[in-house]
Amino acid sequence: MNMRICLVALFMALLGALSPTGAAFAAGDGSGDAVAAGKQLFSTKCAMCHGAAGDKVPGARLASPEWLSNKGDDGVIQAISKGKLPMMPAQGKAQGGTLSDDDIKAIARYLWNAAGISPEARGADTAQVSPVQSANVDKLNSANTEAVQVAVAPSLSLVAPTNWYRGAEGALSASLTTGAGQPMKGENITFYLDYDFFIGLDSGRVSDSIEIGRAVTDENGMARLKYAPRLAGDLKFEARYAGVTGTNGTVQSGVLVSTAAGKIEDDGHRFYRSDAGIPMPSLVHYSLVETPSLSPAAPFKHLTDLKLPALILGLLIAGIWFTYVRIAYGILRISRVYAMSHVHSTKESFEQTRFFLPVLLMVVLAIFALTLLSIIFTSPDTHLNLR
Amino acid sequence: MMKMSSKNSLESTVLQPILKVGKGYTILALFLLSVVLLGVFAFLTQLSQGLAATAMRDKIFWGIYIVNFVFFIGISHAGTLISAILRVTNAGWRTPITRMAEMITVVAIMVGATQILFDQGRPDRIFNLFLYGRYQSPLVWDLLSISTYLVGSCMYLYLPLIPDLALCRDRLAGQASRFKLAIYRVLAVGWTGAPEQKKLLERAISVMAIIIIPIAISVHTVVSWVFSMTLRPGWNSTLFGPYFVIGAIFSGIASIIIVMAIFRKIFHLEQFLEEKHFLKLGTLLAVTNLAYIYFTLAEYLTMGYKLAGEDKELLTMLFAGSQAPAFWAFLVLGLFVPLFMVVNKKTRNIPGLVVASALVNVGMWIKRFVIVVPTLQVPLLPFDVGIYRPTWVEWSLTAGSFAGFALLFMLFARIFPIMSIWEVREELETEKEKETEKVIEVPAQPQPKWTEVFPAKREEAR
Repeated sequence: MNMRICLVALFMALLGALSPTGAAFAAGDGSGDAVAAGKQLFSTKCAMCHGAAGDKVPGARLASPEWLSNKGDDGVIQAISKGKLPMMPAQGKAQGGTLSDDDIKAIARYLWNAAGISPEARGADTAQVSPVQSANVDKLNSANTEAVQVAVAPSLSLVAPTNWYRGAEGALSASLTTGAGQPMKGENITFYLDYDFFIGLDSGRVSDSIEIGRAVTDENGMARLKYAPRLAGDLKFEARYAGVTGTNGTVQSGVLVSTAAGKIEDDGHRFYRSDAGIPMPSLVHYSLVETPSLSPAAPFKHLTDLKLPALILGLLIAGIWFTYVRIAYGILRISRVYAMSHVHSTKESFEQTRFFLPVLLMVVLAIFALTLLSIIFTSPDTHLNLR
Repeated sequence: MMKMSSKNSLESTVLQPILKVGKGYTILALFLLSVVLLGVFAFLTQLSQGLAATAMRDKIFWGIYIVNFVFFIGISHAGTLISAILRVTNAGWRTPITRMAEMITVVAIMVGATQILFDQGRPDRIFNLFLYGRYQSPLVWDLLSISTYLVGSCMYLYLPLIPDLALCRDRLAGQASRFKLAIYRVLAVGWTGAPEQKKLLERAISVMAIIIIPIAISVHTVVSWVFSMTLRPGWNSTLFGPYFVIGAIFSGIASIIIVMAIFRKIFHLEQFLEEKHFLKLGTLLAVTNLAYIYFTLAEYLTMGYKLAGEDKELLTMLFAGSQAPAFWAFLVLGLFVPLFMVVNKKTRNIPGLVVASALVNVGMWIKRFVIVVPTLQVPLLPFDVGIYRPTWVEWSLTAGSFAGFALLFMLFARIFPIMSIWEVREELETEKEKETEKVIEVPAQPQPKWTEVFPAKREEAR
C-alpha cells in the first residue's frame, strides 16, 4: 500500500494579512486590468484553500501549466463556477456562490497568465506546453521565494502512517513550512481525531474533533505525534497550527489546518496485548515482568534487568537479617560478660558451651540471609529459557 | 492480692509444670499424639497416591491446606505482633501474657508453613523455591517474608527467655532431668543478671520488638497478595492486605485468650492471670472485631455494587447459594455474636470471653475457607461450577495439624517457663513501689516502666 496522502491546506487569513499574500502571483507576464482583478479575487476567494501560490490542493495544481492545459479554459471556468464537491464549493452566482461570470473569467485568466501560458495555447494539449513556458514556472517559483520577505502564508501538511494497526503506535507527522518552503522550527502543532461520538446510531452522525496530542516542530519543520488508535477503519486526522510565534520573522495569525486520512487495520489482538511492566524512568533498564523475547539471548545479558527492584528488596531483607545477626552478636556479648567474670573458676569446655549457641546462631542466620539474598539477586537469571 | 504474692510462689507456680505434671496432661498429650499420628498416616497416603488423594482438582486447586495455612499464619500474629505492640507501648499488664503469645506465634508459623508442604503434593520440590525462585512471584514474597518472620519470632521469643532459662538452670539443678538442664545451660548463655548483661539484653529486646512489628504486618499482607495479585473474582481486591492483617490480629487475640484460659486452668495460674488481663484482651478483641466488620462491609459492598465480571456469580454463591451457610456462619457466629458477648456485661467475664474467642477462631477459619474455595469454584471459562469436598486425607491432616499445634505447645510448656518470671516480678515490684510511694504521700515520679526493670538504666535516667 502506498501512502495515502491527502493534503488540503486552509489558511483563514485575517484581513491585514491578506493583501501581501496576493503577491504570490505577482510574477509572470500578467498585466492588464482583467489579470489584476483576477489576482485580487484569487487572493480573497481562493488563496485561503489553494494557497497564495495555488499549490496547496494536490488535486488542483493551479500553478501547473500541465494541469491547466489538461483542464482547458472551459474546464477551469466550470470548475470555479460549479465547484468540485466535496472539497470545492460552487462559486458561480448561478450555483449560489458569490462570483459573477466576469469574476470567474478574470480569475481563470489570472491563473493562465500566472502559469505562463498564452491565451492561444489554452485548451491545447499538454504537448504544446513549450520549454519556454516551463521556464516561466521556474520564474513563478522564484518569485514566491522573493515574496517571503514580504510575508508568506505558512503551509502545514499532515501525513498519517501506513500499515497502521488498532492499538499499535504510529507516528502522525505534520510538516510546517513557510510559504517559500522553509521549515519552521519550534512551532506548536495540535493533533485531532475526527471522532464520531455515536458510532452505530442511525440518527445522524455526531462528530467532532477531539484532541489527541501536541508536538513541537523540529528543525526540519516536522512535528511527530505517536498515537495508538483505539478504532479501526478510515479515520480522519487533523493537524492544526494556530498562529505564528514569529520565529521566522513572519508575523501571521489565524489557524492552519491540514487533514490526513488514516486507514487503521484491525489484526484482532494487538490492542489488548499489554506491555509487561510499567516503563518508569530509571538508571537501569528493568521491568517487573520481562517481555519474553523470541530470539535466544546470551546468558547474563539480562543481568542489568530487574536490578532496581531487586536492589530495594535485597537491601530491605539484608537490613532485617543484619539486625538479626547483630542481635545474635549481642547474645554472644552477654555470654562474654559471663566468661570474663567466671573465667578463673570454669573449665575451658564449659566456656565453649557458653559461646556455642550465639556463634552457631550467627552462622545459621548469616547463611539463611545469604540464601534469601541469592534468591533475590539471581531471580533475573534463573529462567534463561524464558528469554 | 497480686502484690502480696511472693517471689517464691511466682517461681514455684511457673516452674511447677516443668518438674511435674498431672495425669490429665499425659492423657491429653497421648490423645493429641494419636491425632498427629493419624495426620502422619494421611500424609503418607497422600505421598504415595499424590494429590489425587485430596479433593483438589484442576478447578479447585487450593483447598483446606491453604485455608489452614492462612489460619495459622493469622494466629501467629497473636503473639509477636501483640506482645511487641504492648511492649513498645509499655503496657504493664502484658507481662504475664507475652510469653504465651510469643509461643503461639512460633508454633503457629511452624504448623502454618508445614501446610505448604502438604499442599505441594511433592514436598521434595520445595527446594525449587530456593533454587529457581524468582522474586517476581508472590510465592517467593511469602517465602522471604514468612522465613524472616519465623526466625525473628524465634529470636523474639528467645531473648526474654534468657533470664528465665538462667533461673531454671540455677533453681532446678538437681530437680530437673539432665537433658533439660543441659538445654538451660546452653540456652542461658551464661546469664548472671549482671548490669552489663541486662543492658545488652534490654537493647536487643527493644530492637526486636520494633523490627518485628513491620515484619509481622508484611507477612499477612504478602499472604493476602498471593490471592489479590490475581484477577479472580473475590481476590481481585486492593483491600486484601489490611483486611488480612486486621483479621490476623483479630484471630490472634482470640487465640491468646483461649490459650491463657487453658494454661490458667491446668497450671493454676489464677494468681497471675487475673480477670483484668482477660478483660483488657477482650477490649482489644472487640476493637479488632469492629474493624474487621468494617473491612468486611467495605469489601463486599464495593464488590456487590459494581458486580464486575464474575463477581455476581461469586456473591450469589456466598449470599444465597451453595456457600451461603459458611458465609453467614462466619458473619453471624464469627463476628456479631462474639462482639455481642464481649460488649454485653453478663458475658463479659472469663468463660464468656473464652466462648467468644472460640467462636471467633472457628468463624475466622470458615472465613478463610470462604475466601479460598468459592472464588475457585466460579468458572472463568464456560464450564460448570467447581465442586470441592475435602477427603478424609485432608481432614486428617487438618486435625493432625491442630493436634500438633496443641502438642508442641504442651511440650514447650514442659521445658520452658510459660510466663516471663523476671518481667512479671519487675512489674510486681513496680506496683509495690507505687503503693509505698502513695502511702508516704510522695508525688509519684512519672517514670517509664522499663527503667524499673533494670536498676542500671534507672541510675542513668536519674
